[in-house]
Amino acid sequence: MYRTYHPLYIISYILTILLFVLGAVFYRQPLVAVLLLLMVILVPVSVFITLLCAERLEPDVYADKTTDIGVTQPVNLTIKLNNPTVVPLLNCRLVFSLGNSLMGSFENEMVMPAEAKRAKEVRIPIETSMPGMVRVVFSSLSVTDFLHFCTFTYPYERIIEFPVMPAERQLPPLKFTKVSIPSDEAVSTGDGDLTTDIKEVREYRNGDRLRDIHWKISARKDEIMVKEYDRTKDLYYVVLPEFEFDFLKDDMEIFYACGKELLKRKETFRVAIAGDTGDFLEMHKVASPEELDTVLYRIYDVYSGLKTGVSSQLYDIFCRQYPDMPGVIRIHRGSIVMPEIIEEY
Amino acid sequence: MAAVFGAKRKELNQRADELNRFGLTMGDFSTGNKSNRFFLCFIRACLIFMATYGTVGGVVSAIGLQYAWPIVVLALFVLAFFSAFLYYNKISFYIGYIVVFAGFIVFSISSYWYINSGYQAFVNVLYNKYSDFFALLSVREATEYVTNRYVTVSYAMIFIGWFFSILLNIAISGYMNLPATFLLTFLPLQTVFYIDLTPPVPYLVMLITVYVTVALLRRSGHFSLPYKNAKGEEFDRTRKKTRTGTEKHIHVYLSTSSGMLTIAGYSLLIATVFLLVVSGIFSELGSKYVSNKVKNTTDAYVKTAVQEGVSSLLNRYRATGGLAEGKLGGIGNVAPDFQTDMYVRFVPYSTGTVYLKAYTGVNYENSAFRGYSDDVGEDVPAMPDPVLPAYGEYSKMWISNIDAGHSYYFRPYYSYYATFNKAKCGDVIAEETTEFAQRNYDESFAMLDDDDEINEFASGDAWDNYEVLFVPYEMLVTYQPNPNVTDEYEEYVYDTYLTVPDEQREELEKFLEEAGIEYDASEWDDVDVNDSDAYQKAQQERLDAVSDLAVYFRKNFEYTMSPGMTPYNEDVVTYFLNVQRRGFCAHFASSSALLLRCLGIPTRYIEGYAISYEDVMDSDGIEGDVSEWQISSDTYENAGIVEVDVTDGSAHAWIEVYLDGYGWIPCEMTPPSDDDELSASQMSLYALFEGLLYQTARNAAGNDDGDTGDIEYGDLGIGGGAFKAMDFLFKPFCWILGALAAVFTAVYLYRYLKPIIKSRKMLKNGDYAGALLERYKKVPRKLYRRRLLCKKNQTLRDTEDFIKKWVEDGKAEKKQAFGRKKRKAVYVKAPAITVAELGEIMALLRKAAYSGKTFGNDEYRRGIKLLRKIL
Repeated sequence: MYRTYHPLYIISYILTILLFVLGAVFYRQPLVAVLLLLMVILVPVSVFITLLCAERLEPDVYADKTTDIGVTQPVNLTIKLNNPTVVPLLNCRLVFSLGNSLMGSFENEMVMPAEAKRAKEVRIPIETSMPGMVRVVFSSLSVTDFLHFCTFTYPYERIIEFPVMPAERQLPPLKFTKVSIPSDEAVSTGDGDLTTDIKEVREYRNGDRLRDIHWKISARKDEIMVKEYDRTKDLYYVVLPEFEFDFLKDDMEIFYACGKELLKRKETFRVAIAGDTGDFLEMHKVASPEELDTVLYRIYDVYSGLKTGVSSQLYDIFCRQYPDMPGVIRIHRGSIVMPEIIEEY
Repeated sequence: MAAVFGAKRKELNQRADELNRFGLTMGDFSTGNKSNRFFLCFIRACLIFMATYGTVGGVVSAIGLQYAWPIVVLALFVLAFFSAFLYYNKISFYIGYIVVFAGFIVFSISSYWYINSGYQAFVNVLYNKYSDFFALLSVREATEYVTNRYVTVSYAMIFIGWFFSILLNIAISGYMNLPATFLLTFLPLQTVFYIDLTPPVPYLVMLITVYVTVALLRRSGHFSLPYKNAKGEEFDRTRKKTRTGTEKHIHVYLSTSSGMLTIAGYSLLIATVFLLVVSGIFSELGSKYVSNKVKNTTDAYVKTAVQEGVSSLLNRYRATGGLAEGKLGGIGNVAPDFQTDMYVRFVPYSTGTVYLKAYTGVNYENSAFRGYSDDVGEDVPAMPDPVLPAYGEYSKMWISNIDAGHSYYFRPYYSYYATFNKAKCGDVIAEETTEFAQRNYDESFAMLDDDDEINEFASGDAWDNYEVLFVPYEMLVTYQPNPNVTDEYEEYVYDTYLTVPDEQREELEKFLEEAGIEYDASEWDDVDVNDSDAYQKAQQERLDAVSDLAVYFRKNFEYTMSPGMTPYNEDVVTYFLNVQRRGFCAHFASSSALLLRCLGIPTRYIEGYAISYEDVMDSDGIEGDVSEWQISSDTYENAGIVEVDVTDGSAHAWIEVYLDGYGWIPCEMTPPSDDDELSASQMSLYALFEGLLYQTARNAAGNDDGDTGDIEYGDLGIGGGAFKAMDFLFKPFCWILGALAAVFTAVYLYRYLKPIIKSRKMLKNGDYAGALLERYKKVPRKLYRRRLLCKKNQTLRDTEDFIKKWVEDGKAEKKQAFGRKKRKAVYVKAPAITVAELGEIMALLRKAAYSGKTFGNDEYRRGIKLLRKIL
């Protein structure tokens, strides 16, 4: 708890008291003197009673639902302030920020009374227009005494967040493409069912890896021979959403619709999204609706810093990272960009 | 209405904007309890009623007027209720006001005579109370057309209450404004508080309740009715940019009926208890009349208002700067400011008044005496003051004119030489003066032949600071002819100073006839100045007539500085003599001048300053050689030089009467003031502050009326006055402070002793486990207070973990206060308890908590011993 004082109120009160002192001294009038005494007494009473009662306040906050919330679907946030004391604390101030993870947030200060022996509930309807992770972050509860001399602030750290899912969108009948991921990384991680069959043994060429040298045959032939593996032929649907702030809503809806469509076809697919540093891509495997939602939440977190008018550089990063992957499904500026070469396996 | 919709549209636009910018927005906040609007209005109605009835009923009850209280209470509550419900919604707001005003007008017209008579009854009773309080001889009385006061006062109360309800409704329902509420209710009460009448306690309770409630609600917020929003939103929302550029929304809950009711309830409780306690303990606050500076300052005006009506206050003359220059018309009150007009240094020579003459009024017209120079210019024959016996004594008077009117020279009578004449007469003394002086006082004026000596004797700055050589001689007539009087001058005097406006002559003669003042001027026309007996008799007769008039004034007229104004188109002198018969020096002097002229005695009107002997006594002495201030064959015994602070309170008007062959002599026609007349320190607000903060001997003497709050003569000091003036507050303050200290001490003791007493009680009952746990509760609380723990009520395990770590490390860092800037770490040394002992005490505590029945006395004692090591 910490205290802050309100000098303007204090000075104005002191001036008023001085005025009454002058009135009492010069006019010597009983009612003025009585009021003066009352004013002096009210100061400690106000401050100490507030101090004693404020720490007994019990704030609580909850949302009526936190899942399956679509855009434009209202959510009611309820703030409850329970005052178990017999003193009404009329100057309670809850500070919280409210925002969409993709769009930014704004600060809020709610001034409400904590009525004596009551739990005051305030319902806040939140309307949304964009998918994203809606966060309500409470930071403190302040109580100011009756005469506004002093504010006692207590930490009240509470976060309520709920995802807002993109709106349903009907996609036109599309023939999606699959891409192969013939990367070393895939081999080392075992991602994708890679074969270990040796396709052939050939002579060493400049650039071959040491570990691919077939030592037995090399010794036998007295020439360096290299194993050539039968590379994987597993193919995936890879979706690359290139979110831009100005097309965010469409991009989100198309991405979500696309993912649902693939799942509907009982397809497992990968989603390439920006990594934490933004200069590489993470590949997320999606095989179920839950995994799609998880990826979506991850997107809500990762793409929080988008700015209007800035073009996405994700496809460049993707091409750098996966140079041989022409069949990726790009979601770019509110539409699906299909590769020119469709390889159907 | 349009504004409401405009605001709503603006709000909706802002929300749409937020949806675009943030992807979300917040709708109207609600508590689901919109039906409290009626209740909110009802609480307001109660507040308005209490304020209205507390004021109107309080004033009427204080002066002891009876009224039909059930009807008045009912009517005022209905009016308050109606007023408060004007704010119920937009329609009631706009239409309701029309209805209220229409009703007010209808009631006023239909019950005009009842209201009028009730008001007059109130005023009559109030004026009588004022008359009793001030012991006034006369009081205005208004006509009551309806004589049943019980009814008429009730009507008047409802009428006034209606008016107050409307105003208070704006102050309370509209703005919850304490200053407005306070002024509206407190000022009417001053009509009775002023004369030390106090309304009954219930009225004061109502008023103080309203003050406290309004103050608390205003500062707390949550008092507004949500009428201004189209849909009746419960929260008011404002948006603003923070310093960091981010957006901030502030949502303020508009009103809470429950909160308002609780606050009003507590306020009522506070007001009741407080007033009962205060009136019980400090009864003198309500009953004792202590010296009241504001009253002292305003008494004169209040008296005038009570006697002459409020309109008499409108036309006032502030005698700042001293002289009125003969302008008398329309002066209702003289209110000197008692600022210094001049400083005068001289050696006191008389216990009488020293007159400093400045202005000479010659012709009277349009209620004013026109000045000397205006009328006759510079070619008036020279005429010095009358001759004096050759005492051979001369004094010097130094005059510093601060603010006494720089158009005039102020000189005492019998003055012959002034430094400002030097420029006019060259470097020599005026010839006629020297000749005159030498002819009469050869011996003493021998020194005047020496220019250097006389210049040294009478030196000073020209104009504003100058010195006057004069004969220190009191006013009296010697019947010795003045050789300086010429026939030419006497002819001029008789031509000039007998003029009276023709239209007033009849009135003046009638007055003289009624007063029985006679003087036959023709009888003494041919008196030979060389026939000393006849000449003396002639002079005596003339002076007797003057004296008769002065005595008549003293017997039949009253001196006051607040005579009330002269009606428009009335002559001041005629009105004063025939109707008013009370006034101040200018009235008496101007009237005397005209009356004596009617009798054939040349008279002129004089203004200047009159330094009384009291002023001399109150003045400060200055260092200096008395012999440098006087030329005398003898020296005064115990004489000293004084510097008199002459204020505009000493400004004065008198007359000069011409004696044939002798000259002008001053005559005092103003009766002495009564003891009740206000003293200098009582009259002036400046003196009020001066008296409080810079108490002077003069003010103290002026106030020395036995009041307990006043400072005794000689009790000086800057701070002393203020503290002394507040002495009546000291006792209550001491009581209050003492009571607060006692309460805090009691609370502290209770909190300290409570666990000890509780554990003792438990020990008595054999509950050793409970007693140990009770004593243990102090441990986490103390650690919390020392900011070592985050929570006041930690679990046993958490406390154990903390203490264990504390003991192992030997020190623990104090927690940083929430929200504060990071400071250098502060460490607290670990208590002198080992880890093993800590384990033992925690084991004991666990046992006490979970298996208390098996807990014994030995374990308790061991536990206490170990707990003390931690604490």
